[in-house]
Amino acid sequence: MLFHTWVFLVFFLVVYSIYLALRPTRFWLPWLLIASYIFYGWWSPLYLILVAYSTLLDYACVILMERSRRRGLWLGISIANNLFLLGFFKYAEFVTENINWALDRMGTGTALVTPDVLLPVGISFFTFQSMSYTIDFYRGEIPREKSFIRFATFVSFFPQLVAGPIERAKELLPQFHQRPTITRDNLSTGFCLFITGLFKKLALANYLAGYVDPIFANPSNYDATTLTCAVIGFAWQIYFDFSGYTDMARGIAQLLGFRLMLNFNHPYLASGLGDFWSRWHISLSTWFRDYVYIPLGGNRRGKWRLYRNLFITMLISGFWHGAAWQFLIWGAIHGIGMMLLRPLERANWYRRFVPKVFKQFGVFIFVCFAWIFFRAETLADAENIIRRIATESWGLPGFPVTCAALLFSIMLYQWTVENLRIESRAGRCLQFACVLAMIVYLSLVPGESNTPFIYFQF
Amino acid sequence: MGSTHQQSDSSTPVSFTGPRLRPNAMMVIIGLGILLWIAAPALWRQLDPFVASAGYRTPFELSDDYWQYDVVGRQWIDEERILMLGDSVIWGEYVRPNESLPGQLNRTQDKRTFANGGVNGLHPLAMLGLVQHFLPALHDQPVVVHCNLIWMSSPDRDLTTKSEIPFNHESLVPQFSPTIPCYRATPSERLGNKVFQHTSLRPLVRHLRMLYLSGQDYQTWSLERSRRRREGIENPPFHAVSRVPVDVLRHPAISWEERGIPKQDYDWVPLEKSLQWWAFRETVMLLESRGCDVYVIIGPFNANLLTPESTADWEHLRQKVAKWLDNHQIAYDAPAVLIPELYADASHPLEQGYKDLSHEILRSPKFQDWLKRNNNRSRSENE
Repeated sequence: MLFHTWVFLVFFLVVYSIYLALRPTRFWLPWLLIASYIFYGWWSPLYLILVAYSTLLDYACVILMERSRRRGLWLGISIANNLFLLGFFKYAEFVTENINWALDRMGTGTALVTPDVLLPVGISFFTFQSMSYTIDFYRGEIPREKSFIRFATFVSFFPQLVAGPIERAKELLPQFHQRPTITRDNLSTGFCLFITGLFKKLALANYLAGYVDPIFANPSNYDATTLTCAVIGFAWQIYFDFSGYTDMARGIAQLLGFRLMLNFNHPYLASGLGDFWSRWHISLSTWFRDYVYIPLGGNRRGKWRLYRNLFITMLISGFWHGAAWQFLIWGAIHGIGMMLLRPLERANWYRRFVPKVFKQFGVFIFVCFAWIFFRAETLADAENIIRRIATESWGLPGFPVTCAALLFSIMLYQWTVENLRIESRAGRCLQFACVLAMIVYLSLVPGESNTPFIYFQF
Repeated sequence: MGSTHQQSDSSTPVSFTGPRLRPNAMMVIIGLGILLWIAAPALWRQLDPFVASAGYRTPFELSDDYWQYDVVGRQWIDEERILMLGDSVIWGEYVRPNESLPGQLNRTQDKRTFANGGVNGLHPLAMLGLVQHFLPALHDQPVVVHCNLIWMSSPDRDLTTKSEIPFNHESLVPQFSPTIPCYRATPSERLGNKVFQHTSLRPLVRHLRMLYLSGQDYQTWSLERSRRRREGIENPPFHAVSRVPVDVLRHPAISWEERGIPKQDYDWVPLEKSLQWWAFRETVMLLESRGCDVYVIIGPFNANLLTPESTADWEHLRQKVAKWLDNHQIAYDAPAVLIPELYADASHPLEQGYKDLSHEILRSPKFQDWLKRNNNRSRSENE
């Protein structure tokens, strides 16, 4: 069930009406759980077994952690279980294919059977969310959640179940402890977030996908200009697609009276690579910071350890995105970029004398370069794209003017929000005009779309 | 986190980077949104200068443009013309507009004129949707409804086949009930079609897309044009599809025998199991419930093209249709099968066929009674 489909609208209207009716009673929480399971089961009822299993096991592990002296053992079981689920459903095929490749190279004449497992949507998100609960409890940062229904709702909360933001137990669980307040501000904020997300998905991401997809499917047919535009187009497409989903998720949560964390904060206005990662998929990058980078030692044990930790964290982050060498390379590029650019970004002369716009441009170019590996169908395609951009002739990109104008407006809007006060009267008028324009555009321009979000595949 | 906004309500602080409205402004926006969905189509309808000519029939390119049909339908009703509803047999697949059945009837009688409400591929399930949603003004009027048995000539055409098949006018058919076995749209697509059926803005948007954007949404259209420009393919000049029908033949006017169509043995669907027959009955009953005086024309089916076994089944089916109409006291005519040379295929007559058919219909006492009754009714209402 995708947020931008009619079926979700009907689902939400039904769920919301009953939710409002049940809010004064103690049944609002079970109702949210039921709604979340219906939402997730809509993809495949079999997925429910998975989410229920993960929930039950982590809930039990924390109980056992509380009652046992061998807390580490139960934490280990919880983490191993979650990683096993991820490994089996997401990485088994990749690992087997690579082992088979190696066996073939060695001429053994044997091959393992490649498992044909369907990747359950959102598994990377809810396992990480559930893991954060057990780890935080182990660290003593949160108390044990006594109500199973509350914990199950936390793991499967439908607005953010399938593509985040990956919420921390200490942020979201307490919100389920009290009856949610739905104020007029909640409604208007939720409404605006949802409309913004819908616009990002239908008007921008899908529009850009129409340009980008055929080019990445057949890069050899295109010249340098077109490929460059496709790479830049993809950078914006994935941003609009994912941040659009997040906006809608946060908007829906707001309407229900809950707040989810900010996941994107104008990432392409970042003036450093570290800055980029503090603005892009914030819930994942902070998850890796807290549960991988800092446990590895963070920046505490010298420069080389710091670089190592940065690289490992980015590599794992890349692998989290998908079981393919492209994602590992994408993560490695960011890791190497962080290692190389960190001294530069901290240099006094760079910080004082290089204009911000140059830094932003540099970061954007670097990020776009890395996106080539992320988006290309194969490594050979990625290499081909880079080679063709460097060597092929330049011509007309065939990029729709309207799409370019929309992109330019968004960049201008983001720059305005980033640099000017928009709480003024003029700022409010601008925001009013933006929301109205989005509604008019959504009503008249895009076609019906059931295109899933890019991040659902992770 | 940069300069994100912080919500003032301390109970639910939330940062976000997109535009944000105050509650009152949101109410205004919602109001304007509703206005857009309700008032814009009504305003457009008022400002649209299009007037259908006397011999108008829906241009083939606009067969799926139900907004256009609605606009023209309202004009026909205002002009008290007798609407002839049906598929391409009424529309006139192998003839020019004035050679179609409504055109021929208008040539040979001079009282109330007939309007060509035929639409290509308008099977009964779609016709039901068209009448329900895009002919709301059609009430207390005489209406001729064409019953084309070709739609019951196989489970595929009847849409009762189990395997998925594409068919015309998906957005007009019932989306949830009754179930159409071969229709496999997702629940979301079905709901989208429901919204299309029950709002005016979506049909208006489709109308504009069909007129100006080759039926595509603007985004797809602009991508396509940009792609062609990049590849050095000349883009077709930007002009609207004509809302006026062209006076040319869509297909060469040659008979089925010349085309080499062999004898057919159809797998007729029994009426009691037929979805299209159900929809046809529903359409007739809906029109009757709106106070319309319905006259049904069964055929003109090209029985010459059938094998003897299939002919017997067809005859049996035709009798059952006639019996149902008799039982419900609905006037009808089942014209005799024309000679083979006058058909272009299984159900479409050629020009002379339509001419002969119109003569036969006009000679029919039942039709004359029906026509007279409605002329009197119209006169008394005007007085």
